[in-house]
Formats: sequence, structure tokens, C-alpha cells
Amino acid sequence: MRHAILALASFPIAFGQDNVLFETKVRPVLARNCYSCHAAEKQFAGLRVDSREALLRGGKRGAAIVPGKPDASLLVKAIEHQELKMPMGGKLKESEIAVIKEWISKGAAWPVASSPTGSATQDRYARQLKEHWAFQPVAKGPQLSIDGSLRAALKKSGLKFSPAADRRTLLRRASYVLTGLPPTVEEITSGASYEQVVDKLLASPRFGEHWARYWLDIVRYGETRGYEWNYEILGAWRYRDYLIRAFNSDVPYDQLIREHIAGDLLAKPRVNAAEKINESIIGTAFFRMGEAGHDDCIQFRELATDVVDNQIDTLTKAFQGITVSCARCHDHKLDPIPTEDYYGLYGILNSSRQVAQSIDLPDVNAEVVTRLRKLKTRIRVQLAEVWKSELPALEAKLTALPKANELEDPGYLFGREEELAKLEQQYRQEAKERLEYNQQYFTPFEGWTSSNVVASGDGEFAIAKDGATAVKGIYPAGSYTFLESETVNGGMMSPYLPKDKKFVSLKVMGGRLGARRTIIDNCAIGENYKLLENDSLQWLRLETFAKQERLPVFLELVTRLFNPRIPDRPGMLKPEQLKWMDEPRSYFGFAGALLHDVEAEPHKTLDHMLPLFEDEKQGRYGRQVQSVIERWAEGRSTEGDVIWLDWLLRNELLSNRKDASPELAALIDEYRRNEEKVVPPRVVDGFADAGPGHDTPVFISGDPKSFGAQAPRRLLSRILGPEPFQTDGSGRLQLAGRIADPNNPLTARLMVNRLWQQVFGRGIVASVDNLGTLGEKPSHPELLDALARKFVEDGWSVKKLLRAMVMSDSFKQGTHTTADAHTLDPQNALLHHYPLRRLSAESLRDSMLLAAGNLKGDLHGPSIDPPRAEAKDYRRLFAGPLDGGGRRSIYTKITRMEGATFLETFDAPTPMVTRGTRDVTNVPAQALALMNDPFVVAQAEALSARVMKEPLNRRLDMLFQCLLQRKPDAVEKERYTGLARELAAMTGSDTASAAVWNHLAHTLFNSKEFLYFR
Amino acid sequence: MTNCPGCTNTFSRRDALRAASTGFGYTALSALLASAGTHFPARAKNVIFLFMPGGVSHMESFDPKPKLAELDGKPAKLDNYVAGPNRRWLRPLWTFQKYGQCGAPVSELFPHIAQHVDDIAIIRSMKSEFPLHARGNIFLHTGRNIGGFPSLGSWITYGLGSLNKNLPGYVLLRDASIPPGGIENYSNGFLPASHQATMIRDEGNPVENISPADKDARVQRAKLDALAQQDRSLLKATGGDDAIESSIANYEMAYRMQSLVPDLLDLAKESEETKKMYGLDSEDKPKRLYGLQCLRARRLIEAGVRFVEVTCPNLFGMNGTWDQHSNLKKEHEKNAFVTDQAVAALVKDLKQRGLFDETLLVWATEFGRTPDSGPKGDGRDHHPDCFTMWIAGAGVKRGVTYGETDELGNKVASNLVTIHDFHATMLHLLGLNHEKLTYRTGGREQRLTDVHGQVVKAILS
Repeated sequence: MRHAILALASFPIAFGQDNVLFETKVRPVLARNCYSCHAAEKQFAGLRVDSREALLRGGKRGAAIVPGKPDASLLVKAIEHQELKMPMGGKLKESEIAVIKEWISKGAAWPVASSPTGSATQDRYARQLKEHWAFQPVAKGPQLSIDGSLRAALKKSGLKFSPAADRRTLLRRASYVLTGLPPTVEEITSGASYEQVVDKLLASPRFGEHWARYWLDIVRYGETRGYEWNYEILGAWRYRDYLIRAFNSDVPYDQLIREHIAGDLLAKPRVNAAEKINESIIGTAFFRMGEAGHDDCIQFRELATDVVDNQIDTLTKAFQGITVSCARCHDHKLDPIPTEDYYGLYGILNSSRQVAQSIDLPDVNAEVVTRLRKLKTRIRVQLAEVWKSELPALEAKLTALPKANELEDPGYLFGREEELAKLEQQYRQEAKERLEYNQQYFTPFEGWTSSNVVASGDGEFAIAKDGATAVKGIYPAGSYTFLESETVNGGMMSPYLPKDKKFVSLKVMGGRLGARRTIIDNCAIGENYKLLENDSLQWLRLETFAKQERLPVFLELVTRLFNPRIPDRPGMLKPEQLKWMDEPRSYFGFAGALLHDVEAEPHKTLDHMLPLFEDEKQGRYGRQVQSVIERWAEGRSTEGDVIWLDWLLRNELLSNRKDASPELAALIDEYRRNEEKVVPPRVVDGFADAGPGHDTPVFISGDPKSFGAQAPRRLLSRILGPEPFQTDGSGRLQLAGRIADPNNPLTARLMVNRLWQQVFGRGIVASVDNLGTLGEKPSHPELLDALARKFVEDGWSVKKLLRAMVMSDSFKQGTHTTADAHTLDPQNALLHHYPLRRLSAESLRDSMLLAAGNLKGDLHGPSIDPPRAEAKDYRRLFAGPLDGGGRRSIYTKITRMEGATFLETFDAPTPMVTRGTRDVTNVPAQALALMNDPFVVAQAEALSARVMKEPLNRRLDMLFQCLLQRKPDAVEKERYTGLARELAAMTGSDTASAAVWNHLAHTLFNSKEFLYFR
Repeated sequence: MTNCPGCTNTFSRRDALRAASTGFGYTALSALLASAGTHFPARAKNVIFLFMPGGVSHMESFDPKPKLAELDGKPAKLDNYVAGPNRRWLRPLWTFQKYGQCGAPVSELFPHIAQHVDDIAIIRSMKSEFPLHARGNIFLHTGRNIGGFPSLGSWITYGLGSLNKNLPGYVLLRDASIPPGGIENYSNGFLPASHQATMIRDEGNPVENISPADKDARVQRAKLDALAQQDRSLLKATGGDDAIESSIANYEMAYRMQSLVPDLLDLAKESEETKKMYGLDSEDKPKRLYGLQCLRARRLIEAGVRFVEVTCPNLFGMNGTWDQHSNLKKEHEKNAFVTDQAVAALVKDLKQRGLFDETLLVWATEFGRTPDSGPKGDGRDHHPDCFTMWIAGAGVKRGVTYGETDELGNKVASNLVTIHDFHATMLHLLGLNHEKLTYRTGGREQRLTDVHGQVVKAILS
């Protein structure tokens, strides 16, 4: 979990608004001189000059303006009479031309409020808000039953339900709808009532797997980032497991929304005591499931803005059923969503940090860490004893040292006894000057946030993890991930870097893939990172990118597990570094950061030397060291003491060997044994807030280099209200609250409709991801509202709602339809029968494994690479086993660039956008897969092997039961006995042979009755 | 997702198509358009799209820049993504000669293509938006800068349907590699899945699942016959569901494809002379494989496939074989050696067979290369501001060069052609109006050309 460790600095970026020039000078010139021929009424030469877009689009001669480049702009050439002579009525005044040129050179900003469509748009918005059904509050009224509503609507059209389905058909349907798997024959033949079966299905762990898979479509879930190198999304699969647990335990939907949007910010996060994880924080991984590029985000601004665009698109489609991303470049033409609404969300997301975070509860390693700390205290005491016993020999050792040359070197005064008086003056003077210099030129850069890293005081130390050395180092106050163990791992991030300093220097150390990163405009896998390869604290000077006035920049220190660039693309890590990937050990230490303009390090301080001047007698070094050791043994070290201890150990003036005493050796052995028990943190890419958020301006025409007015952070200002969020953070918490609000007209309706579509094959609103004006109208609006009300009243329980749906008579209908019904309502919008439905890709594959007896029931865990004809390791497209390890399809890894071909053949989506309903295609490639894919053949053979264990006369029954949950009828028996004879003759075997039964099983795998449920 | 066009008011074909979206999409727009099958008379029936991933150097292929020879080694100052203190102009590493009656200059990299300059239209004024492979590739293929949108080939098969009911309309002939941007380059996006590219590999099993699992054809036939009976009884029981009926039909088509596709890829009936022309006798394996794919491309369009893309064997950079930030001399030369002969053979072969009058042949790359070089001085970086592609065949002027770049090969100097313009022109030649070829999704009409694109009339014959 993240803790703010110090007061948070604010983001110092102010987005300017140079609109005055435009409104007072530019627009009047254009309007007076050009509009008569180049605006709404007339467009001579195809040109309009009444909006920025129009100028950029230009006319027959091409773009009229090139923002930032007046001399390259055709408009300027025309009004300067270079190429064209415009306006027709006579040349503009020089001052007017100058104004236009100045405006273009500044980027040709065209404030959104001045958009020429403004008032017409406002009128249209007002009308839509008043008239469009989805923007009205959910109607209050009496509770309606599903069956009553549907029957009434059918009756109006002179239609009625199809006769009820038989038990097998119904159970097969309910089982596929609720769990994605077929029932067993026993479930069908048992005496259990339908209701009991439904409750069993709802309680099955398979339920969570099935509905999690559905939700993964909504959030365009992928596990790699695509683009060029297909970087891994850290811990993506943990988000998938989070969903499975959430659906299985029926976490209220409003809670799920809050966790998706602001799980890291909830006052009371949902805790999973068994797994020792903070569940809520995992939700925010949903934002991170999109594509992302690694290139330089300053040069290629769209790399950052496209990620946010995809986040806005997914957020608003997934939870509101509205396409806000349409308003990226202009006011939404079809729904009441002005461009400010898009950038209001942009500000929220740009204010949120894209970081990897630990989902562990603090108690994961608590026991072992407590033990390690206790051992460390004892080691400290033992070591201090050893050192004290070495004090008498100190002077002799010091004499043997080469003479020190630097004032700050603790050994400097040794052997300079005669000059002591003179030196004291020099030291005191120099100490003051150095301090003043540092204070004048360097400003502390504080307010860092950390994940899995705890701040420590002066004199903390780490035990060497192996070998003859006792102590790895003794450190000044700071944050060190490895004080107990290098396996602990961790991450830290800075506040935004200020724009008034050129450099930031960090006092850092690190190793085993520990790294520092500069995150520019939230580009999570940007190029600006370097491994820390120094095992002692050093100043590291970095650019602040202050020239990028408008881009938020922050620093990160990360160990390997917190670094989204690792595993890095081929060639970035050396072979010896790659070896570190085999174990979780990785670390950094951080002892402070400074901001400055001078291109230099701060001076080293001298305070630690001053005590030597207080002691006038001989033997001062021994006494100084003794007091340093004593304070350290008691855990009271000062900053100066750490310098002394570090010097003493580095120069071997005190021993640092594990076997310096038998007690010490025993303690260190025990420490190391325990240290092995530390487990690495479970890390997930997600969102975190750090400090106050910021509004962003509208990007005019979506161009991230042209700025309009500031867009206050809020959600759907026209539909849900104009008040900006009151927040000292990003605003995600408020955003989550606004969406999870029972009074939000979109949220409950959208989810109810999604679930309905999954259960009945078609939504009450057929366009499940679009409730806007261009979506479909609801077929049963009152029922939709009644269900939305009930959903909220029932505590947003997905299971209760699904239960109500599958228990209805509407669901229990048969598949038969009449010619009349087909003519009157060909799309079955009124639900006069239950539709025939093809199995989803996952259900199909899972059903095959199940029938073959190969399906494993284990829940959760890392994903399994899909089988591939050819692996492409350099793009992280690895090949997995043909049968996916017998796991359900939800555990197959979803890779961008190339997915799992078998699943995609049956319409598993490529993870780019929210997909509330999948296409159901019907193409020969599907037939080819079922006929020839080695996976299918292997499963058919496995099923055949199961069947072969039965006596010959029972085999066909069993084959049918495994696949279709029924016995063959007489005609079928005849058909397959005939086929068996034919095959036996062709293959030169007999009808009882495995060869024949492999073919029979394979044939039935291809049957449409297996491929569809009804 | 990035840009949202306004509601262009073309009629929506979605529901009709949905109902008919079975098979390889042969029931297409054509059925719903006027009897002509297109928006206006088509000049071309099909397309072979030769993609050169990585970025071919324009000033070393079809756009000579003698000025660079003068400036060679001097500090270069350009306003692009690699601009910096250590940049130096780099002279063209190959010399040019004029060829044909039109006298178009071609570098010594492409001696075979050079023989056909009188047959092609060279566009020197191409401009893309992104100096990044993934975006450049996706932009070239889908007209958008991010994944999730239909590929050019998908739009074309969606618009025109396939000419052969037993074959896919859109085929990608590829090697083992996958260019940056991945499968999104060849995706059907929001169009029905029947419009996605079917992949044919140069080595190994050419098409996924095309070899029958049942090696004995009689066995498979017997199983499929029993299956058909089984499925028909279900069909009867459900009162004749369309989906099941189509699914049954698909099995028959799939069955036929198993023999049809291998036949199509089998070169037994090609003469030795033809094979030699495509370089199939070469000792160089990549060259043989590329020749094979080009020859297959011809066979596929002959058989009625609408859109065939051929990618190059990936020999060097993982980001596209033509991506020579260094080693330009050696590696561009090798790429040219591998591809030049087969591309020229394709022109010749199409002409000989009269297919040049109904086929559009496109030679494309995602961007050009910079006129300058970095500190090592032996390569060029990505350059989307201007580059060269060529187009030839049905409806295209022959022996013309269109557009100009400045004397450095840095910017377009005249007759700029955007990727959208290029797409609009291709659609135009196929009889499709790029503003009318739309698909309604997410509540709006989507186009290949988004809200842009102008047909380059000057290169139309």
C-alpha cells in the first residue's frame, strides 16, 4: 500500500490561456474580412475560416494554416499577397496581418467556447437532455415482474411465449448461461428441482470464472501492451483473479465500480484475509489494460494522449454506456457531451499516476520481518561488542592507513595533531561555508510516496545475504528496500518536478535490476530509465525536463518487480543482468533528493569532524569511535555517526566478518535462514494518487499542442451536473462516487441491460455499450427501469438479479417459433422464444476439455501462453501447451499483437475496446478448426479413451452423454453404428477399436448440437 | 476512437449484412448496391499490395537527390524527431539511371523493377504522420494510428465481396515475423470477422488447419456425411434456424477448401520459365520464399481473391526488414536483392496474362528514411514527411511520376499525397467512393479514410 510520507507538493504547472488575443483581435478580423465568402453560408474554394478545424482542413489549395508557422501558412501568404491576393476587397492593414501572424505563431488557439456551432449545439443538447430516455431518472413505480412485462408486450402484438423447454434443454441453457459449462448427466437426471440446480450453479466457483471472462471483454483485458515490443502488463492476471473472486462472492456492483475507479483511495479497502491482499487496490488495474508504446512521450505526444483516450473510452463505455471519446476533438455531435467533458476526465486521469503497486497486506511478511528485526538487534549488540574489543588496536591500524587528503575524510585529523588548533578554525569556517553553499544552491525535494518501502533512521543496516561479510552496509536516514531482505522489493515516486529548476539530484544506490525512472506525462513504459548499479550511496544528477512546461514529470525508484519495463525488450539487458530475473531479489536505497540549477553536487558536510576538536587529549580517535559504536549499539546513531561507521568498515578498521565471534556467526546464520522465508510482494499495475491533481485545458481539435480553456474535472457535466469535483487528489474518488450513485440514470440501467443480454441473448437495449441517442431504444423501458430499481434495492447484487432472470418463465421458454412470430418480430426483440445460441469460444474449448476428462478445476493463477505454430520470443509471444494445461480458457494468456488463434476463430475479441456483446460469426475457418485443429483431435481422442473403458454396448450412450447430456435415439444409434462399420472397413480395424471410436468422438465434437445451446 | 466523423448520411447496410454475414463475406455490399455492384464502374477487380515493412529509403530508390552527394558529411539541421547536434547529411549510397521511354530514374538497388518504369506510376510525394513503426504500419493499413479499426483489405472485401465463394476475400502472404502493430494491421476491426485476413505462410503448413486431420479422405467424407445427417435432424427439430443452416454449409465449403487451397498453392502447373522468372531457382532461401509468395499472389487473384498482401522476409531488424538505422548499404542491398526480381516478375506476369488490366499492384512502405544520418553515419532514420510508393495496373497511368520532394528529400514540394488520399484513390479504382463506403458502429458511420482523403485524379488513366 502507498503511504504519503511527507507533505505533498502541488503540481506547479499552470496552463496558460491566451484567448484574449483571439477574441479581441483575431476573430473580428476574420469575421469582418473573410466570413462573407468562407464561412457557414459560402465556402469559396472549399474553404471555411470560422473554426480552427476548418482552417487546418483548408480548401482546394490545402491547409490554410500551419499552427506555429505563419510563414508556411497559406492564409498568411494570401493576406500578404504573396501567392494569392485576399481578401478580394483590398489588403488588410499591416497591424491586422501582424495579429494573424502572431496568433498562428502561438499555435492558432481557437477557444472552445467560441466554436461557431456553440449555440446550436447548446440547443440540441438541451433538447436531448429533455427528451432522450437514458438521461431521465430511473422511473419510480411499482415493481414489475419480468414475465408480466414480457407477456404484456407480446400480447399487444398478438404473440405469446413459446412452450416451455424440456428439463435437459433448460438445464443445459442455465448451466451455460451461469457458468459457461454444460451440466452433468447426473444433474439432469437427479431429482433436484430447477431452483435447486440454479442455486447450485450460482454458488459454483465456475460462476465467477464465467462472469469474470464476460467482464474482461468490457474492460478490453489484455496481458501485454502490444505496439512494438509487447511489454507485460504487470500482474494483469491478478486482476482477472480478483474478478473471479468478486463475482463468486457477489461483491456489490457499486463496490466493484468504486474499486475499479478508485480502489487505491477507498477509506476502507476490501481486505482478503485468506490471501492477505487488499482487494480494492487491484480494481484500478482496469485502467491499465490498454495498448501502450515505449517511445519518447515528449517527441510523440500522442503516445500519452492515446493511452488516456483509450482509458476515457473504456471508462465511459464500460460504466456509463456513453462514448465520451467522441468529444476528443469537437463537441459530441450526437450526445450532450461537450469537449470540456472529455478533458474534465482527461484531467482526472492525467492527475493519477500509472504505477505498479503491491497488493499485499502489511502482515504478509510481518512475522518473518519481526523475527529478522529482533535478530538484527541482537546482531547489532554482538557486533558492537566485537568492535569495542578491537578499540585498543585502532590507533595502530590508523597509523598504517595512507594519509587522508580530504577534509571530510574522518581520518584527516589523524597524524595532524600539531596543526589541530589551526585546523579547527579552518574546519569551522569551511563547515559553515559548505553548509551555506548547499543551502543557497540546493533545495530539498521532499514528499515522495512509497509502495512497500518504509522510511528508516540514521544507522540502520543490512546483513550481507551470503558470504563471509557480516554487514552489507550502515546507512543514513532514508528509504531502503533491502534492510531486512532484498526479496522485499518496493517502489517510490516523487512529487511532480518543479518547472523552475534544471536538475534534481538523488542520493541513491541499488542493484539487481533496481532502477530509477523519469516518468514524463504519465508514460508508464517510457524510455527514460536506468538501472542503479552502485552499491553505495552516490549523488545521481537528472534532468527535470523543466522546458516541458506543460508536461507533468515525476521520478520513480523501483526494484525489478515494480518496474513495468522489466522484462525489457531484447538487447536492453546484459546476459548477467538477465540472470537476476531468476529470483525476486532486487533493491534500491534512497537517502534524499535535491533540486538545483548548478551543474554540481552539493558539498560534503564536515559536522561529523567537529567532535574531534572538543576532545583535547591524546587518544581522541579511540574515544570518538567508541562513542559512535555505543550510540549505534543503542540505536541512537546520528548522521555523522553513519559517516564514521561507513569509513571504519570500508577501511577495515573494525572487522566486518561474520566469524568475528562465534555468537555473531550463529546469529547471522540464523538470520540468513530466516531471510530465505521472506516472500516477494504481489505487484499489479494500477493507479495511485500522489498529491493534488490538476485540470488540463481542452486540446483544440484533439491536438495536444494547442490549448483551449481549462476543463474542470467532473463527469458528464450536462447529464450529471456541472459542479467540478471538490478534491485535493486526482478526483477519481469523486468520479467513482458519481458513477456508483444510485441516482445516476445510466449506471444501473447499463449493468442490468448487460446482464439481461448475457442471459437472453439480446439486450432490452440492443446496443449494450451505447445508451446514447444513437443507441437502440429499449424494447421494454418500464421493465428496464423496474429491474434497475430492484438491482439497487437488492444491494447491487449481480447474483440476485441473474437469479430472478433465470427463474422467470421467460427464460424457461422453448426455442420453437412460429411463422407469425417470425414475421411480426424477426429479431425476437419481444422474446417470443428463447434463441438458439452458439457457445462462446471459451465455453466451446472448455466443454471439449470437460468431455475429454481433461478440464482442471483449479481456480486462479498465472496465465498460460496459448499454443502457437511459431513462438516469437522477441515480441513476448511464447508458445504454450496445446491443451493449455487443461485449464479453463479464462486462464489462457491474452496477448496483443497475436492472440490465441483457436479462441479468436470463435470470436474471442482482440482486446482493444469495450465489447459488451461479441460478434457471433459463422465462417468456414470454424469448421476447419473443428475438423482439423490438433487440439480438437486430441480432445476427441481423450474422450474416446474414456468411452473405450465401457463395454461396447454402452459406449455410444456415454459418448452422447458426455457431449450432449442425453442418450442417442434409435435413428442416431443406427447412424453411428453404420458409421462405425464403414470406418472399421476403411481403417482395417473393427468397430470396437480405438481408431473407430476416436472418429466417432471427433464427429460428435463437430455436431451443431454440441456447438450450440438452446 | 481517436477521431469521430460526423454523421455522414449514407444508408446503413449493417442489418442486412449481419443477416448475410456468413461464409467469406461473398454476400456483400455488392448485393445491396446498384446492379453495377460498385458505386461507379470499377477499373480494377483486385489488389496485390506489396508491403515493404521498416521504411524504404526514398532517395535511394525512386527519388534521386544529387544535392545530398554535395552535402555529404556536413552537419545537417532538420526539424524532425531525431534532430540533434551529431547529424550529418548522407549521400545516396547507390547511383541512379534513367529507364524506359518515360525516363524515370531508378537506383541500382532495383535493376528489375527499373525495366518496368513505363508500366507504373511512381508517387514521390507520399506523406505519413508517424515516425514510429507500429503507428506507421497501422496508419498505412487502417487509416488510423491505433489498433481496433478494419484493415484496407477488410474494407475492400466488405465493399466488394469475394469473387470466389470458396476462397477468402483477403489473404496475407507472410513469413514467420509479425510487423510492429501486430495483427491489428490485418484485422477486420468492427467489420464482420469474415473480412479478416487469412494468413498463408511461406514455409511449413501454409494455412492454419487446412490439412485434413483425417489423412484418409474417405474417412473424413464418411464422418462429414454422418455429421450432415446429424445436423439436419437438429435443423428440423429447431424449425430451421439460419445459423445452423449456414454452419452446415460452412462445413461443405471448408471441406472443399482443404483441397482447393493446396491446389492453389501448388506450383506444379507453373512452367519452369515462370518459376525462374520469380526467382524460385535462386540459391538464396529468402529470395526463393519471397518469389514463391509473389507467384502465389498472382495465382490467388487469378482464382478470385480480392485483396492479397505480400510482406517481405524479415532478415534484419525486428521492426521491419527495411529498417536500416545502420548498415544501410549492406542490408538495403540484401532486401532489394530478395524482393526486386519477384516484384518485377509480377508486373511482367500480370501483363502477359492480361491481368494487369484488372489488378491493382501497389508497392508500399510505412515511411521513408531521413536525408541525414546519426553519428555512425551508416544509416538513416524514420522519415514520414515524404517518401515514395508506386502503384500500377488497372486504371493507373503508366510511366508517370507524380509529386515532388525538395532538393534534400526532406519535405513534399508539390502534389502531396496523404495515406488517406492513397486509400481514397485505391477505393476509387475499385469502383468505391471512399466517402460512401461506410460501416455503422458505435452510433456512427465509419470510413477507411475517416474524415479525410481526396482521390489523386492525376494518376488515373
